[in-house]
Amino acid sequence: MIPTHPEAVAGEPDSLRWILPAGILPEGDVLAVPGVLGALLAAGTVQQMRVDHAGLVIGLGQGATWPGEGAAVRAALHAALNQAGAWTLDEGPDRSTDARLRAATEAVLAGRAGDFIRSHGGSIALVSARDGVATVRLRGACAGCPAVSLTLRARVERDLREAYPQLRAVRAG
Amino acid sequence: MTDSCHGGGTTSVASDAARVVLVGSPNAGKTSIFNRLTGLNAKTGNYPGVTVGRSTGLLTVDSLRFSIEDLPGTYGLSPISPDEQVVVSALSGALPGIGSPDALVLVVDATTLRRSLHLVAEVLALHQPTLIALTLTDELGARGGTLDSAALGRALGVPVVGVIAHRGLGIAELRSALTSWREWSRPVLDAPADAAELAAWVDSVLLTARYRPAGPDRRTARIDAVLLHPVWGTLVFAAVMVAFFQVIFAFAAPLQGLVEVLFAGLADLVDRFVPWPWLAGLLGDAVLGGVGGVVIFLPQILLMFLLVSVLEGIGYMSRAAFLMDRVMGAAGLEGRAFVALLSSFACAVPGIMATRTLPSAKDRIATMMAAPLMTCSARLPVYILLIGLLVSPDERFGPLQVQGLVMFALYLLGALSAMVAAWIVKAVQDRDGLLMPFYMEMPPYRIPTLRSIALSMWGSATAFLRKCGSIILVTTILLWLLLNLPLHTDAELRAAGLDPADDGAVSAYVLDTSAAGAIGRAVEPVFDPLGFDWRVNVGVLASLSARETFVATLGQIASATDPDNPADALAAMTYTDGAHEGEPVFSAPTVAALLVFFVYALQCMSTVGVMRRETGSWRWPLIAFGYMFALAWLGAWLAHGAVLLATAAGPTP
Repeated sequence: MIPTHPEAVAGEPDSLRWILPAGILPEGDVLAVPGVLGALLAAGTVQQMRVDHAGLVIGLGQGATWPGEGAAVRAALHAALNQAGAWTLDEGPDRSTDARLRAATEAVLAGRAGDFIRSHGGSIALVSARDGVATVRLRGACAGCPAVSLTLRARVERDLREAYPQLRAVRAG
Repeated sequence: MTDSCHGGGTTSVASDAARVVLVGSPNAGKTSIFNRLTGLNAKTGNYPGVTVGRSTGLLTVDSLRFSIEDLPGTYGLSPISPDEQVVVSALSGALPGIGSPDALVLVVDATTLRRSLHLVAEVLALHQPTLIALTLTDELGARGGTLDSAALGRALGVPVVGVIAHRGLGIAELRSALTSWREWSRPVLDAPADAAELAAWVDSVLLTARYRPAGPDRRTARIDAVLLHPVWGTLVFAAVMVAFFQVIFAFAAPLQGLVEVLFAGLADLVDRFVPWPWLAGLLGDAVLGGVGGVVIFLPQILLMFLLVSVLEGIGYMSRAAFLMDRVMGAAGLEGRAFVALLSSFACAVPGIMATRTLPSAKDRIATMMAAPLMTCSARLPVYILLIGLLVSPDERFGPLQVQGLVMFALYLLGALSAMVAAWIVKAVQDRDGLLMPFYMEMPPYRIPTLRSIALSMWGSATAFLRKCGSIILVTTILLWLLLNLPLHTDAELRAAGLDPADDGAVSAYVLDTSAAGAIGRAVEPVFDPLGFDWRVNVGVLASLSARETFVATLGQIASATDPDNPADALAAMTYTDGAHEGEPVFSAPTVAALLVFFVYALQCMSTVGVMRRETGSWRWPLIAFGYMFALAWLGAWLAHGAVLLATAAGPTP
């Protein structure tokens, strides 16, 4: 069973974001789902579903509540996640693999890995994201530091691989 | 485990305060948080199952009042034992007279987060405002684990506050978080009920919180390889116990000397400044000679609780329990029963209350019947006094003081007898009982904090002194009256052939013809085979209220006989009449018989009372009192005979 749990979505009281491991579903609006979840979507109990960087946002339709419908939605979701290949998503014009790598890298650099580098007096910026390879540039205290490759591997690459499992390498450019 | 008798403060709580209940797994640190929040001194230990029952305290933050309630630890909300039932009833508001709580503080041990999430899921499903206090994050980090507590809070949908209670870290944050309990975020959706879905939920929450479990504590694992080894572990356990009693004898003596000097000074003051002889007698003999005779054992009590709380804080007691579980299994009892019996090491009252952790009612009865045989701290003064009469402090066996070894043997006899008693009770009333599985967590070794050790010693010292000031004082004054009545006029004294000016002879005569003397002589047929004279009988009868009263009574009699040197008076005491006239009272056979008598007899009204309360009828306390008295008499008779034979056969020392 694929691990998932719901978190509240700011500003959308009827929605819950079901946190999913990276790489299960591509990002985009969900158009069609197999099984019971598809039926719930068709019946309007589930009004809309979209996959973003962190998980699957499910919005309930009018009259449906999470305490009332939550258990059924959860069971249907687990069943549907077992056939992730059968989902149809509108990945949008901007959803090439390179664009996803770029977005993921930027999120990682803005997050904990970047915080670590900045706390050590360095700075890091994305140079390019292409064919599964992210190239970054380290400046400040990092320039010439012997621990740079360790930081890249142990922090940037680790976090990035979590968000974008198809990652091939992180390079310093 | 070092709960003292009659301890456990529950303050009355104002009704306008918001009720906050602490709930969590055993040994997660609820009571440490409770103490830090309320400033109360509930007992803590590195040991699951220390809190039994509820305790309540008050907290005021920014003029907002809270009543904080500490509950026993539980792994889940489907109760299998009475103490878990307490948790469930308290949370659901099913306790009579008390509504459901306003808010919950769920205490979660970060080092056992995966397991704890099952309890978290159940507690969140109660739909009460809930805050998670995350403890032991310092230990998680030290053992190579990681946890993002903010991400954990987002994943669970409730506020999370990191707390390291024994160092007071995070308590201020917890306090200020409590003030906004009405606005705490709440999860939109309950965790799933289905087992597979729940497992996926737990996995996902842990992934999101970037949880990496603590690596095995290598130091703990290495130490445990020795301490839990069937052979080495048992040897170490025996060595620890032998050392334990050596320390109590070796180090307490100088401190005890100080307390004795204090009481001698007080006696001097009474002598000089109290004009009325009867008041001087009451103060000098009853209060200073009697109760004071018990109070001088305070250093031993303190030392014992110091050692116990250190062993417990380090985490050694859990290992001892693990080793003993094999023995207990042979007696047909589960390991939880050992925890209860271990508690009785301090006092049978908390020991009997600790049987609430036992799921099976029959196991509870068996454990309760055995608990009073464990050597409680009330026996300590009696043992020390009697061992002092039996063995000189200079006698050594190799590097060890024989006094300490005798003490160790008495504790061992008590413990073994308790096991046998439990086995018999269990065999008689529960022939085909199944052993329920027992999970006892082995906490990692930790350095105990000075605070928790000091709390334990303070608690035991105050409980001991309170007992001295209440039941022992009352019994002692009662005995003083019995020992000094009826009053004799000078004419009567002269008629009896005494010189009224000879104080020593007069007090001996008064004692001899007193009401207590008559009572002591009346029961002589019962105790004569054990070698007890009427004065010892009075002491034994008095000790039925509380064991220490025996010491108080003998102290009183001795200080009436020889006010300057009660200890010598006791050693030199001889039979005043009858077949044994002139023979010393405290001969080796008699002292041995007394020691064995005190091992077995149920001389504690508090224990009888708590047994009545816990079983709901007089049946079991009466059975316990009866069988223990029979056992005590029989054992004392055998000991008396055996020592008599041994001293007659061997060269007299």
